Amino acid sequence: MPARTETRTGVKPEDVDTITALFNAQTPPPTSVVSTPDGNGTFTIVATWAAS
Amino acid sequence: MFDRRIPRPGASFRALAGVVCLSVLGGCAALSGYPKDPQNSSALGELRDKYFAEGIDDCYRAGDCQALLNLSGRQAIRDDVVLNRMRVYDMEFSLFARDLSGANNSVSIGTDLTALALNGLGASAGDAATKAALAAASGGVLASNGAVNKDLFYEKTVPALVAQMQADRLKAETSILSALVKPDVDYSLQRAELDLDTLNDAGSLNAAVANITQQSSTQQAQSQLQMNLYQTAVTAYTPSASAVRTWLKNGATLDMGRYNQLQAWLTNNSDSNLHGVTVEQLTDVSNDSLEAARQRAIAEVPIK
Repeated sequence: MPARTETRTGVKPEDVDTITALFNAQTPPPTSVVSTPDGNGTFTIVATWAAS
Repeated sequence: MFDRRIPRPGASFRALAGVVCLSVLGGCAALSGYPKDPQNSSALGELRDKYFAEGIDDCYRAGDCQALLNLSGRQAIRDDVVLNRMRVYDMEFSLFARDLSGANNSVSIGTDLTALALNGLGASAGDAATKAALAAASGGVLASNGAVNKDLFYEKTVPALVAQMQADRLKAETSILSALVKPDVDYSLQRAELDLDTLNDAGSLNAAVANITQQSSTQQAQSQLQMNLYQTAVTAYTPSASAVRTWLKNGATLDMGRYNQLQAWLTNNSDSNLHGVTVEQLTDVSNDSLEAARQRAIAEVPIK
């Protein structure tokens, strides 16, 4: 499978850990899940799967 | 009944079974999977001769088919001709399907089957019977040496093709029967003949293979479109999204028991569009169809 990413924008701070855990629970798990503040008090989460 | 047919590979066991069947039961209807047709074998020829006679169109236009059909009036002639031609096509199709399903069929479909992409078989759309049969057909591909067991593939694929042909024919028949309620001026015999041609073609292997392939391609494109829609999305904060997320957290970060419960609901859902959806997508993606799915999940899992 080619590499792919999934992005969630506008994530409230109290949900960052849960959404990160939801990505990590998938099979296969992503190679990385990165959350960054978007400047509006919310976060953007990007999950990345490497090519397989 | 066997000597006029060309045996296919692997048919020897069935031939032996046929001999046993003949000697024990005195008949082999079960080999084709169809019951014996109680209809007089000459009925098809008689109907074909009568309702495909050359003078039919002319007497229909004149509104007088007394000589050929003992009928007058364009609409009465149209209805009689159309219904009986449908019957002929039904009988021809029944014979064709029996031949296809028979132990030693004389119909070669090898080249048609190569048009079916093996990878697309299980994912093909269509009705449940077609999908189940196609999924079974993929079992005809033996992984041990990577080769296709053609005989097994053939046996498993034929029911799927017959199911597709029956579905296509039913659609064409429904269209014709619906149109026959119209007056003759709105649905003439010539117009009905075009629909009858469609009905005839719907009973062909080529049409069935083309439809199955088309359905598979369409579903693949839809799945890809769906994947793209979910790749970048605004996080949902509707009441249903918040309710599902709170339930999944269960007072902590993530309750894996509830996660697995929700994933199972998605995987086994009656809506096949949800089979490839992840719990994360269901919970977090802001999208109308997923919003409807979240509301269903709350009611059905249930999520409290």
